[in-house]
Amino acid sequence: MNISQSMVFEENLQALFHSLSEKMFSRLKNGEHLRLSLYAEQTQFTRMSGGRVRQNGLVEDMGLSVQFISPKQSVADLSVSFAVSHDELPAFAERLLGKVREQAEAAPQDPFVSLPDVAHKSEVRHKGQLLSADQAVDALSGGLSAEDDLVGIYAGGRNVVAYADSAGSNHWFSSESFFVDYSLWLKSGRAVKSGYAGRDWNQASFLKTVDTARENLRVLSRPVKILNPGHYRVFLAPSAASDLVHLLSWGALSEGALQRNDSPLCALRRGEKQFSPLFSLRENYQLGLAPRFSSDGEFSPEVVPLFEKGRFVQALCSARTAKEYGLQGNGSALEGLRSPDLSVGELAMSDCLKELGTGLYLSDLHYLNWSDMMGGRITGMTRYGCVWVENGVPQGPIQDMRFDETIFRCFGSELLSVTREAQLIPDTSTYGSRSMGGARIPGMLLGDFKFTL
Amino acid sequence: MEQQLKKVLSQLSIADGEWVGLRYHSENSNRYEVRNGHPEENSNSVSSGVMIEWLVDGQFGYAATPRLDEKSLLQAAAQARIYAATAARRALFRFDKTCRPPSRGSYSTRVRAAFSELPVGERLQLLTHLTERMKKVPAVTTSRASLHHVSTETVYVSSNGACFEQDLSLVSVSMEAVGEHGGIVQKRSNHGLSAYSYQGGMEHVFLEDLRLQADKVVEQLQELLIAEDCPNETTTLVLAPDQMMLQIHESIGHPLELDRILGDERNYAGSSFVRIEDFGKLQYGSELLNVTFDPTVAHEFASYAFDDAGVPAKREYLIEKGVLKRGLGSLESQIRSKVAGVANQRASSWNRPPIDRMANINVEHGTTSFADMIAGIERGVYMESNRSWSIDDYRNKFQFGCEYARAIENGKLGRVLKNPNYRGITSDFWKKLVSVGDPSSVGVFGTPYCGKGEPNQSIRVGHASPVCAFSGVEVFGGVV
Repeated sequence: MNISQSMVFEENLQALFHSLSEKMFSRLKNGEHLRLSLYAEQTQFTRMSGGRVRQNGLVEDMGLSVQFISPKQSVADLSVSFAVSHDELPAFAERLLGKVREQAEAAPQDPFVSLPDVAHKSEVRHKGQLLSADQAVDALSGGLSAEDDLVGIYAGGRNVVAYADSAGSNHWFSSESFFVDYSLWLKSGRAVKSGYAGRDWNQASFLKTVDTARENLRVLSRPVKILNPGHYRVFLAPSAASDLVHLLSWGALSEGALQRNDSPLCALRRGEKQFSPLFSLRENYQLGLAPRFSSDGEFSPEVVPLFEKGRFVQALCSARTAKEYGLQGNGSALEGLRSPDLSVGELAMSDCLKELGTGLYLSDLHYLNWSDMMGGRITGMTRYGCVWVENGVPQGPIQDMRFDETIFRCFGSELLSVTREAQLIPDTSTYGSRSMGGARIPGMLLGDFKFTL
Repeated sequence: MEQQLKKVLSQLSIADGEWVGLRYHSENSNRYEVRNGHPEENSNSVSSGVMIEWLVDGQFGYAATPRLDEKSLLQAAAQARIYAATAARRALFRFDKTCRPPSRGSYSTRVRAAFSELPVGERLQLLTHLTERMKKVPAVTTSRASLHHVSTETVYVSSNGACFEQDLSLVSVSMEAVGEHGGIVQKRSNHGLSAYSYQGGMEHVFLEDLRLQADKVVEQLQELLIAEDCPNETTTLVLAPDQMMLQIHESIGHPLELDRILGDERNYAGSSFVRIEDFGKLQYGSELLNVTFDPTVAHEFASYAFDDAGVPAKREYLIEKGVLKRGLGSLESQIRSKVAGVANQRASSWNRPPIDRMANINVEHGTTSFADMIAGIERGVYMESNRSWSIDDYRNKFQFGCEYARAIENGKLGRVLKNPNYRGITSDFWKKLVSVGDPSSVGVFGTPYCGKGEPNQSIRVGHASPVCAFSGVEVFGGVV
């Protein structure tokens, strides 16, 4: 795949999508509503293990989702492949419409469905300079030495998402981008997590991340510190802090869950618990990582403040939840974070070890889950380059530890300071398709963090 | 589709030593969900495409496309060859075509009553009925029920003569009730997140059976709302099959995957505490522990006749009398590790390459009845249905939580306990297995959500187990 082929791919797709939209919307009867959303990608996946290529391939995908709302307000959702030609389009449109009408006919009225009623429009295209199929393998492994045990994946290519509805909304978002999500390993089983992401590949920048990872591996080659379960002072590097923040997406920041008294943040809203004045979180689409519109066509404000100086401002609210509970939605169809931006504080990153003093520098966490959701308690593991620090000096890697802590202590009573610098952390998820989006997260110093195993 | 794939295959110029395989996969998924008597979802999703693998200079390259016309498939094949050839220059290992055996045959899920026999309207009515039934209880604030049916079709042909087709029919039914009483909020479901998942058809959606499940959900939810917290102590832990499912999955299934042990998964899902040299020697658990890889159980969620590399699937012992015998590894992993494996090279869909996965991983039954097991325990905790799961990247330090528990006191099931959790270390935990239930205590469950791989893949697995008891386990409750 090269850039010119990729551009043709997008141009064809846009022409097809517009043509399909026109055909389907023009066939609607009175009282019928329709939402169309498109997802497409051409992605090269190069999987590395031991600094060598394990798997290498190309995935092309294009899917269309249709939501049909009948005059009696019954709803049908249909997702199909969008691998069609212009010649096939009229019959394709007719077939889809027939199918969703039949599917909706069988369903009862949905009292909470939101109807498309506002005509938003947006068009964003991010161009990039990506590696060709031929270049990627050499670029990834070319600068490595025989000792570099690099494990991970390069994913690069073009993503397209688009939306149109019968009220006249029309959105197009495309992005040529890549990420290398990798870790560099010692024979002892210790590793440093690293990555490189962007729109324009720069070989020197990628190799600089590898150099930094090699440098960070040095402290991990020292003897392992085995700690007893207990309470420790910790510094959460941005990646680790990001994992904690993202768990709020798992049922906590959902307005629907809050309304049903089914979220750990209920205690916060009732005023029984508090977050620290150092904790300010917002959805920020100005980061440019994710489109403001969702697959349901909900269009989010550019910035959605969630917590301001510890005060719970609002949760993420879909149009559906808004209708059910008589609220104002904020364009979050799935009521989960898509572009979180945690405000920075005053601690210089270069001072984080000094301020930590004696305790644990946690580079990464792993496998977080609510261990008592309504109590706001999270369990998880330390992973990769977590080190024991004494008087501001790294001593060596720790044996991985399990923690069990509440969000009210992590983001509240134990939050001592937040770093002045934040890190852009791309979403590297590729379940089903390559994700877009990411987060901007600073580091966090906690006075007390409970390890249990 | 078989003819189309063979026609494309016949037009490819495949050099000596090279190999090409084409795997068509189509998945038709119907999903319905109702909350408090109102529809939440009525969806149909169809995804179809072809994955083409090409072996060049010992390296597999791939290209996947949803375009099913001949020209597009030929273009994709050419791409697959390019990706193989470029990667071969820096390949991790040189494979040959013996990793893709020329299997022939077919497999279909045994369906007693076709899912299509129940019209769409009646599917939603069924779920509405179940949520309204649960919501009748005043303490229930939210009731949910969902029904998911997936039919898949896979056609596989290769340049060395493989030709097989597999058609699966998969059904999941989930019910959940959330309740509140005196400021306490609890949830109860039918066996935990999507655990009621089977191969088959409408025989898994009998109304009377689902009504009984719904009634049990709300009955136990009411018990939880007035229950005390699980105590913090080290005691005998008895796990029901719907929690054994998770315990097997996380602390036996994943650590035995050979690609993890070989290091391929270190950057994402993680590695394993098991080493290559442990196979045939490691005492993984007590002598009561017998574990099989069994893709032949007709109604279990992950049964099949061939994996996605064409290897015929059969039942194998992974652990016998507590000793580790065999890994969960494909032919590719077996050649690299020189460890015996199974037919488990599976892909989540047409757009992902196959990797080492679980399928059905089952703990074999013992001889102790559930009643005798409980009668033999002076003090302990019995737990059902997973609600929280977390384990380290070497699959050792775990912490799991359940929805529902009962205290065991003087050989009897006693008080209901809420917020039950337990933690342990895999290599130690299975050695504490002190009692294994008889066939009457066996439960079969599954999940559609096993995540792994780069690029990521979520795949279906099944787990069957009897009730099991473990001595000296740390249990604890919720936040004080």
